[in-house]
Amino acid sequence: MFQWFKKLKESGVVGMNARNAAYVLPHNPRRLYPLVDDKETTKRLTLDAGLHVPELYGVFRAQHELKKLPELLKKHDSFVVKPARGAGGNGILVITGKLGSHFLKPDDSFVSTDEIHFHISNILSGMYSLGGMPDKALVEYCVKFDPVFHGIAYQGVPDIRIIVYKGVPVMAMLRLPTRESDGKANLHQGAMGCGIDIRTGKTTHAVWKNDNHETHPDTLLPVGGVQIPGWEELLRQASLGYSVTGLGYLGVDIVLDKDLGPLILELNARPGLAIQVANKSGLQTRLDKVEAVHHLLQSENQRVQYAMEHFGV
Amino acid sequence: MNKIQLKLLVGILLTIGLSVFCYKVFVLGFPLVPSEKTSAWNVEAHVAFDGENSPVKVVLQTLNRVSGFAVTDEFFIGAGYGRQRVSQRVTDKKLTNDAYDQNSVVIWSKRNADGKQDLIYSAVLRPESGDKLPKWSPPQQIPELRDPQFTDAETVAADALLSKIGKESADMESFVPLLMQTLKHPESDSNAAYLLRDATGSRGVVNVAVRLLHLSGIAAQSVHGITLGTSSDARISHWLELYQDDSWHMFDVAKGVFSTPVNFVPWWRGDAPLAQLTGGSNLQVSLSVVPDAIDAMKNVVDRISATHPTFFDYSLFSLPVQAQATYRVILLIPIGAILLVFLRNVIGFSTFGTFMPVLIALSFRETQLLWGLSLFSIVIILGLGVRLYLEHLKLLLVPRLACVLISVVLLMAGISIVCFKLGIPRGVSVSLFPMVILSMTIERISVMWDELGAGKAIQQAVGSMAVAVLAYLVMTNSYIEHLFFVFPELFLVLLGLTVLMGRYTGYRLLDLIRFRTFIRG
Repeated sequence: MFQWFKKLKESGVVGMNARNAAYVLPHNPRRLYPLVDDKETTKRLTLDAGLHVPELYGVFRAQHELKKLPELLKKHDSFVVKPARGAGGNGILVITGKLGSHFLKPDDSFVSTDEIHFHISNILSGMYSLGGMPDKALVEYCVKFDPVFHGIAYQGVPDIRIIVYKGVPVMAMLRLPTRESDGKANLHQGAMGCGIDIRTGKTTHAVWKNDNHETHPDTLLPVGGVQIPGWEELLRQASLGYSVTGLGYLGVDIVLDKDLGPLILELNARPGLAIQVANKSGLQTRLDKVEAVHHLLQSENQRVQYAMEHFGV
Repeated sequence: MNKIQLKLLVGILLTIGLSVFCYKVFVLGFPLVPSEKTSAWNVEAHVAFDGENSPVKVVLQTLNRVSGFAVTDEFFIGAGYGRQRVSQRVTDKKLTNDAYDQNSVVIWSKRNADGKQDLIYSAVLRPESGDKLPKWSPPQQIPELRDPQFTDAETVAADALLSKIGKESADMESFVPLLMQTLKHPESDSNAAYLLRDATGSRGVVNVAVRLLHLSGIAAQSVHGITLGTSSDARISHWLELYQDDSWHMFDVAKGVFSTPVNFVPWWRGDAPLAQLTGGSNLQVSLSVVPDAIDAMKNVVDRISATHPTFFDYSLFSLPVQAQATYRVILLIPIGAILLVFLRNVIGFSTFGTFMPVLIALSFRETQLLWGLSLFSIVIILGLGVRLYLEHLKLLLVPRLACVLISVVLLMAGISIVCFKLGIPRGVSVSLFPMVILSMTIERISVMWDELGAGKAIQQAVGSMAVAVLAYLVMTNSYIEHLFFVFPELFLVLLGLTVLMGRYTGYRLLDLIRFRTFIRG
């Protein structure tokens, strides 16, 4: 068993305890958490800094504000309802179209206005928020995903998770929803994780349910070698996330929109570790490299340049 | 800087904790393991009678000068009663003997008592020689032969009875059992029946036997007492003490044989009853003898507090017994907590709610493990059913939680009633079952069920239960309980270790599974 631990250590895998004690606790001061824990705040913050985010259609802060829901739903055919302080992708309702009085979900099932109403009520009462605190519900633009991922995403929106350490993007993965993940892009909910070469922005290999896969489990199309468009700009956006929040160890979730390009969906102060599995590579060596030079890298461009030079496959 | 502070803090905590611990073990001689035998008994006599709106006086024999035992913590409880404690000669009314052992009685008196009256005498019996029960020791004073003070008619009957039994026996060893047998079954002998005409109960028989023995030239006295055991149902048993040929012989009246009393505590001697009432009616005396589990340490504590008096002024042993019992339970919570820290941060288990398993384990203490587990599972399964139905009604979070809570309480009441009717007494022992925690658990399981599917939810529920069982096993271990109650300074050691675990950055055991792709290739 000890040689197993040794093997992990040699691969530079960062464990949960190490992430918390060595990266999250020292580099992410608690007072900065509200900036990323509340998606409404994040949205305001990133908009001011010139980051691209999905347009906000409306915010519900209290039950009585639900009066204005029908009017809001009238204006938009597709939208996403999400809790402002949700965790793990829970409580997100995606509506892709309208059919009479009913709304269409990505899996082609219908929901009524009442059900959306109830969903928002649940969000407000804190059902999906950390610690069950009362929450806000955001209704925002539903991303029309870029055809580049057509064929390797099953319902829902694939997103790109980038770990940014002290402003330097150190590792990235593409998260592909599957039938099992119900359109969600979280690996522990059954989504597929796909490593990305930081230098080129091309996908490498994929991991689904902790096993290596070459093809998407639902569409059976190969997932490797897909070039993500505008990669450098994507890295720059991710790096900006650090400049805006000041969080030293940050997870940035980006989606690619057909019309609008990369949009930042959310920032995460405690990004998961599955990205290592998707990249078949430990984070430790990359984090150590950044630790050694980060004081020399002053601008986002320098940081992105450094990452692309050093963290290629 | 942080690391130095951390090491310093842990070092200080470990040093203080361990050095106090070592001092107590090696210098003061605290026992490391709990003493197996309880060495104290709570004896309680409950006197109940009906007052008749007149002056009453109750004379109750008390435990006093029990050889080999120390009688402590005596309490006399009687509201509105005057009380005096007197030493009473064993007055066989007509017999007097100054050298006789003396009984100690308490006299409760009241000018006007009406309705149901309750008087309680309680005391703690503790062997003088540590944990071991003292062997039987014969009384010091040797009874002298006395005039049994029979009337003329009685003397004739007694003589006839004694000569008949004398002919049928060879020596005292055979004479006394025969005599007692005749007295116990007087219907076969008219003389015995006449002598026993006023005697009530076995105590009356014993009193007549003593007088007959004195008449026949055997110095004897009766002794009444209790047998220490584990059952709380205590009864007074009677023995005869006979002195002949410079030695004592003990005769067990109940069994009708000579033997040596085992675990027998003499309460009083002579012909007096345990309790005497004047001025009331329906006198009833109930006795209980309960081994005092809490007090198992008391002997050691008494010994050490005599030599190091200040030491105990500020220890858990200075608290009242009731508070001590509470702390025995409370001190188990940190143990459960550190176990959870270990399971979560070193092993990598995830559970519903951070410390929920500890609270569940605490409630298992009330219900016992198997019954607690099944009750828990039943309530959760039924509660999930209710929760699934509520899902249809689209209730808001807090009202929905309240609905689940109410259902859980109803379910538990229902289960208790059904169990009671089926004759399963355990079903009623749910008083402290954490219903709010159960409701929250049901809610979390059902949310997880929705989000991650049934498999994950059941997996985590079973995992939480397993952790709770583990915590229960650790927290009910009598050695651990003893260790942390007697040596609370060990919590400093635990605190130090927990601080260390708080800075543990190594892999968790379950990281091996998580990152198994790295190990494979």
